[in-house]
Amino acid sequence: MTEQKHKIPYTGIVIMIWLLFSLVNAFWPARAESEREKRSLARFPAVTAARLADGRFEEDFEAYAKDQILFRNALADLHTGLERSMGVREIRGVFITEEGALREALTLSPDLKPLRLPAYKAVSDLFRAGQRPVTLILVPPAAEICWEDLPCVAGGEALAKESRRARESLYSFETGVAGIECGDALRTAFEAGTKVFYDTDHHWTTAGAYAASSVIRQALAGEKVQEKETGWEFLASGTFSGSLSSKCGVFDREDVIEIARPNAELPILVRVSGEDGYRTSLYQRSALASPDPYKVFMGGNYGEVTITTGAGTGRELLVFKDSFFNSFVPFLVDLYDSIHVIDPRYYTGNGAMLLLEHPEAELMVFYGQQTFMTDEALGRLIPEVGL
Amino acid sequence: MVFSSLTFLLYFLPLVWVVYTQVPLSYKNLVLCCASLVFYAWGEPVFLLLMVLSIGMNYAFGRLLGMARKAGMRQGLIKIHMGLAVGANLLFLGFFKYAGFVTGLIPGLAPLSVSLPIGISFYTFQAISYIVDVYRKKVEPRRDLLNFALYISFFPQLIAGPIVQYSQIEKQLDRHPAGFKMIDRGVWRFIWGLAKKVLIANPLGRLHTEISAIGGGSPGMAWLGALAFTLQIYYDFSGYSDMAIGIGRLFGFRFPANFDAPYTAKSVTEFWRRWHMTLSAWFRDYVYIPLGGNRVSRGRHILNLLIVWLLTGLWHGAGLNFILWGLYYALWLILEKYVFGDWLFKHSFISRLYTGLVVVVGWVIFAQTDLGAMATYLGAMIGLRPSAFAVSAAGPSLVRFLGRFGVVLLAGLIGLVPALSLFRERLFQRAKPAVFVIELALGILCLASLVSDSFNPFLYFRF
Repeated sequence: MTEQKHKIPYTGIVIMIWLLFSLVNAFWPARAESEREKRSLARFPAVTAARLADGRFEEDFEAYAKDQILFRNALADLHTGLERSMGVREIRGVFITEEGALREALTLSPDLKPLRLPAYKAVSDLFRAGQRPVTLILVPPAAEICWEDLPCVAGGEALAKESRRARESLYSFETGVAGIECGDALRTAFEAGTKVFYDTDHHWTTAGAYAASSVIRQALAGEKVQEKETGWEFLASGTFSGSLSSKCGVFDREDVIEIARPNAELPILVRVSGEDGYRTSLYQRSALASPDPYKVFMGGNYGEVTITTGAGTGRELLVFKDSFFNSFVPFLVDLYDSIHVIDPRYYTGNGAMLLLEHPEAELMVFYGQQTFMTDEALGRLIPEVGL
Repeated sequence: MVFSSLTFLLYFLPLVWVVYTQVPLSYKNLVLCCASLVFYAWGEPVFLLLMVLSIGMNYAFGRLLGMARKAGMRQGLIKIHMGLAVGANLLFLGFFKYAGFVTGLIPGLAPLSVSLPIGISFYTFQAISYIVDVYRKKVEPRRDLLNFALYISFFPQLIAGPIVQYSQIEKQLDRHPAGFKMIDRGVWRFIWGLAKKVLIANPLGRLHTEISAIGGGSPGMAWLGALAFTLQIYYDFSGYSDMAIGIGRLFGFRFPANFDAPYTAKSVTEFWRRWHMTLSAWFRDYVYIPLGGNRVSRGRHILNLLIVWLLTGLWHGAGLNFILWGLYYALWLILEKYVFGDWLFKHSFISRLYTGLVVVVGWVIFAQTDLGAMATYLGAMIGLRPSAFAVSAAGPSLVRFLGRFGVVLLAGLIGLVPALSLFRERLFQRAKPAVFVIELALGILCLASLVSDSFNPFLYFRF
């Protein structure tokens, strides 16, 4: 078969495009950060004889080449778009619903043995070390509450049931660890059309936290939650693309962050360990303009935060938590005179000392269920107590 | 450095090609040789010394063989000389590739930890082919060290073949004009090879890795994983060969093809005439035929096959599974030759099915380097559930895997159809505008895939 001759040197054009792109790419100014991935981008690696000899320079150069390629975001979007156009509905452990909302895939063990989970073992140890009951609150994952939205490959209602069974097995395992189930409240709110989870983040929304607050407050204080119209004002305070967008590279939409403000606002003082002075609000509004607007809740994660309120209840709370608690804490401030908030990931002190320093405090562990299943930080903090 | 890295695609290759096209003719091979040494040293500079040693050693051996012959040395002595040269190469290869494996088999002895220099299997075999071809008087010993060094180290085929016998490239080393048609074909071949590797092989590799991690899971998943690996290894290896051949053409070299629609084979014998053809040719020319090939008694022929396939298995990796894999194929080849080969050739559909099954199971043996994991995986394929796999609605499932990888899998299967290759060739011959669009589109998609693989979010609020 003879080749047709063409006047236009197509191959030459392809080569010129390739060479031009390579040239421009090589000399384009490097970017410092990726807003999408929320991290610093690799810079041109240091050239030293030692780094050349052991291969580190070459490895770092490839990382630099990948991080600094021209049109990086556009190329990533192209790839994600192509996958989605081919019907792929799960990218890097994130499900994409028909409406474009993102739901994190779950990690569950069907034959869950609670004491084999480092975090649950730590809760059990906390009960023994503290010699008082521990309240365990696990926020169900979005894939459980909103299971109908998931693509059909995700597991559907069976997935939701398995997630709930896992949580219930943890709640019922040990007598001294009392679980508070908030899944039903979230589910009711979801069915009523409330957006209980963000579309781009794994966290629950402020509305979701509020929906769960009624049953949690009821269990903690036997008090009926105040109605939204009379009790709370929800103010839209900013938009953001959450962790799941960053994880899977889908940036179709943004979420609106709401701040919950009680109509009868209690005066509070917030002390963050390591900082001078006090804050007077649970919200850090300046975070709304930052790359991480979710930090509006308590200013982000700190090792230790102490909230002193004018509640006058005589109750003290010591809570070990993850970031789910940050948007929930406003719904607790009227129940306790002081709340000591410990994030095991960032706390550098000793768990045994905490228990000694707060001998009268009620103990609580408040986590997102997904995080709890894989967390190891809590176990490092709580002293292991032999049976 | 690998072809499917951004370092190679956007920095190394453009720079080398531009410099190569601009320097005078007498400097072109020097540019290629220097670039090849940089390519090889990239990431593992210490092994460059080994490469240089191999070049020097084999160059000297070749020259000495030529001088010995000219000096009228007895054939027996020349043969010993050749044997020493081949032995030295095998010693190199043997030490770096098999020292750890062999010492690990000896009870009470701690396995030796030896890093494997990349590409050593390929360039050592090329060096041996040179020595033996000089001995056989098929070629003259190369006098210029530069071009000999280029033969051993040339970067397009250095780390993953095709294995180019010296006689196939001897004349090209002196003269390799890269005309427009060569470059045209080179770009086309390279882009397709890159697409095979990045768009098909890489995703299917992830699928296989995930299923392997759970020991195969359910039978459906285990077979899916085996199919994924079957496609992955083909697209990865043939894609890499296509890239090597394409790059060779950019510099005026024609390398032999390495694959010829192997999954259309109707027997294992035919499969090995279509798969990694340059390796098969090497073993045929330098091991099988010198042993007598099939022109010996039946017993000796079977022994020859066992030897060749044991060595073939070992060449692929230092592990018991590779030995098992080689002997597995020896068994099927022997059975085809002496038991049911004739019957097979008369039944096209059954022969294709049989060949497919043998090949897929063979790849399971190849892929599972741990014998226990291999047994678990093979067991999963026949319904024995592995302990690593717990049935969970949240866990991996066949449906979920197909949801993520179904389209790539389908594209991989469709890509095997020979008619598609014919269509591609026709397109190249007759529709240059379409070729232009396809080359650009595939290039952009490959870049997009490579960038996406590097997507590495820091999940600040993960906890």
